[in-house]
Amino acid sequence: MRRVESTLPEKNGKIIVFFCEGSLRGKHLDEHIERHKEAFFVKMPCGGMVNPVVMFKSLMDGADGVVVYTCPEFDCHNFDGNSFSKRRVFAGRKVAEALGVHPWRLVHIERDPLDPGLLTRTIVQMSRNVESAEVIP
Amino acid sequence: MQLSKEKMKELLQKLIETKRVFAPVNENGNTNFLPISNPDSIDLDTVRTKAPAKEVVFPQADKIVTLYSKDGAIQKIEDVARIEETVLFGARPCDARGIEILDNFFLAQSRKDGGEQKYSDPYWKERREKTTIISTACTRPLATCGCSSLGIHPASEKGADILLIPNGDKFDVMVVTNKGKELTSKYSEFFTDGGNPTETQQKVKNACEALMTFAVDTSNAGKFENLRSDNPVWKKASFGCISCGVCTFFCPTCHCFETRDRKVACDKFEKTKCWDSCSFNNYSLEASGHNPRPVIVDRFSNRVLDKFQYHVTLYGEIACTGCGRCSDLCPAGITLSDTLAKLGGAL
Amino acid sequence: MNSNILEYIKETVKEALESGKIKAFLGYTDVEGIPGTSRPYLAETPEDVDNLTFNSFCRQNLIRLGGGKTNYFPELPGKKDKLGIMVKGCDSRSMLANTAEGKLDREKLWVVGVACPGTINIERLRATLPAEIKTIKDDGTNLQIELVNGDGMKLDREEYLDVRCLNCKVTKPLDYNFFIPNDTMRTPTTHNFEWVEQYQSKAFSERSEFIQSHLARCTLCFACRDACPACYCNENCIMDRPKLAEPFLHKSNELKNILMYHFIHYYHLADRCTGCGECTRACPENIPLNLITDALGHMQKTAWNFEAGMSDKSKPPLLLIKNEEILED
Repeated sequence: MRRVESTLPEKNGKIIVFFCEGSLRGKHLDEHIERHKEAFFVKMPCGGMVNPVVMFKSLMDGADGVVVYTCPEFDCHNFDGNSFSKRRVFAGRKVAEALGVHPWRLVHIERDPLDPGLLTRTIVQMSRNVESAEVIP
Repeated sequence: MQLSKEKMKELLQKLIETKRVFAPVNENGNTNFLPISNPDSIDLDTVRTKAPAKEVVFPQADKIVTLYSKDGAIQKIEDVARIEETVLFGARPCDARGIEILDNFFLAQSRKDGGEQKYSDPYWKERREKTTIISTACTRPLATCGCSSLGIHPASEKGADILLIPNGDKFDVMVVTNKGKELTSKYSEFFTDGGNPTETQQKVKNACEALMTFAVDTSNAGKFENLRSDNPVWKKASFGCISCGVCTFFCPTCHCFETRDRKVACDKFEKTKCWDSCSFNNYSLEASGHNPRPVIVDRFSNRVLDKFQYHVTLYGEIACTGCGRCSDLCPAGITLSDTLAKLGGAL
Repeated sequence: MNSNILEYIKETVKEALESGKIKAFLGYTDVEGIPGTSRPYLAETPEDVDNLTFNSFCRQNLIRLGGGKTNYFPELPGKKDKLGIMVKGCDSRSMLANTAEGKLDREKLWVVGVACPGTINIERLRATLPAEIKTIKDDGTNLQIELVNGDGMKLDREEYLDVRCLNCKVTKPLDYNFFIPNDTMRTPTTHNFEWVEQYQSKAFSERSEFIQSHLARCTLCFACRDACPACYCNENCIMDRPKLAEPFLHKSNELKNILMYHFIHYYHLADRCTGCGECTRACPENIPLNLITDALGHMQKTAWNFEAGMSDKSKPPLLLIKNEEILED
């Protein structure tokens, strides 16, 4: 009828990480894949390539959260792709919030050379948010 | 036969126990036909629901078949079997008539033009057979209500199985079809004797028609065969159309659909029948990339001619019930009466 | 609305048409038989001008009619040929935004700007009345209504205004060639995002439930896309390309598909939405899409100090690659 399936996909703890190939590679990438069994790592040529439409699509198809991991600010190999990405994800978060989808499910972080545990902390925090929420619209 | 308003709720409660009951429900100020679980939630005061009742028999997205592989062979689940017994309560005469008109398109029959429709749509047929339509007469027309111009009237029994005509605090019950007779005899304890439905019907009709201001000139229907979309009148009539799907999605007689496949798991997929609209750009888009109706004028003329020309030659009826939704909801302010007046002038 | 103003508009347009200053004029005309509604109208000869009208029931954004698949602007082959067009305040923002993005040739337009009294949401008005309207007149403070059953009534027009007009910032057009003053013009508000902040201070779950319960009614008829003056992708729109859209969007109206469609629509408008309210007006199911568009306007203002459509020079922030370019603007 009018509302065929009015429910959104149920939470399943899966997190997708789109990472810039310059920011995570080699040993570090292997470590992260080893450490976070709940996360899928998707390599992108540049963080600026990640369209929020694709991020939202992953949410609607069952992912619980999406992280975009880019190079540090002013250190992009592709003409400020990281700040472009940051702006786009910010806009995407606002639209998602207006549509009633939790903004913390769309996250953009930049690699910080002084803080190697940032990505791990973000993924763990997101998993905790998912666990604590009963339903995640 | 008569039915009082309290008994009506008891009857609905009884029906809900065994069947799916669709009735107009006011949700956030918008009334639509929804499956109800509580007879108190229905809203019979709204003259016209936002969406027509066709979606009870012709849902917007109807999962028709699921295919999956098992033991190396392809298995099939057809969803016809899942269709339940349904009661459509509180449909207006225009909604009931719309469903009747759609029978032409979906059921096997020999057509007016000599052609033969060999196959029935099994999903439509199954739903139609399992649906009992209880319609209620209108007591007040809206600004765009024009059903009297199109072969029915505000208290018409066409297309309904049972017609309830308001008479004071009671309804006069007119039993129209065998399906209606079955239902009234099965639940006879709720109905009382008395009342003259034919007389009340005439009374309600006259009272309602006296207030009707919207009229559609349908005298030229079926004479538009030479009025192709290159005629300049179409440009005038469709001026301002933004090619959205409002007039078709909210029309009680529009029936275009397409089937889409969706992968559910790696070895399982569903086929869904979903509405399509002839005003969309991709409606007639061919696989080669060619579009026979590339501009709005073509699509607009197709929509109007389909209702007032092609349907008339094929089935001998105008495919419009005069419900006025297209005129009321159109974001560009295009009305059916204006369109037909312009077309009539161009003949 | 003063009838002198309509006469003034007609005189001006007639003069311009006769002198050859414009080839045609795009304005509004009354819909016959349904009081309180209007539709776009193209006056090509001086005689056509008599059909023009302007009142607070003229709700369409005429700039929409100049784009791509819904191009109703007549062909203007000559170098000096111009099209006259009537714009309200919000339409002028759409015009400037489309000009800034290179989608509209401002040189080809002769713009008649009208001071806007605010538009009336006739559907909401009709829903509250006991019978249908026979005649309706807006005198600037009240709506004078005569019903078909003979009753007459006077209603406060402020209560039946479109939501977009309640917090309107631009009641006087920003750019025009000829201005028509109007003594019933609305006073522009300066705190147009106040209610957005109020709304956003509510609990997230409450907001989420509210908007999603409304969005569940969406039938994917795409009226909000087609009425939007900033949506000019035409047949290239992802929703209109089955091959492209199939992996993205199944056509059925499940909530996740509805949210996906609205995300695509409003994400692409995130930095370009001028808040003209056409999507809210066009929606046949009365979904409060203004909650989304106003959140976008608020975001543009607070995050980027940018307002779409306020000048024909500023480029939308998401179209710029480098950060520095925004800071200059």
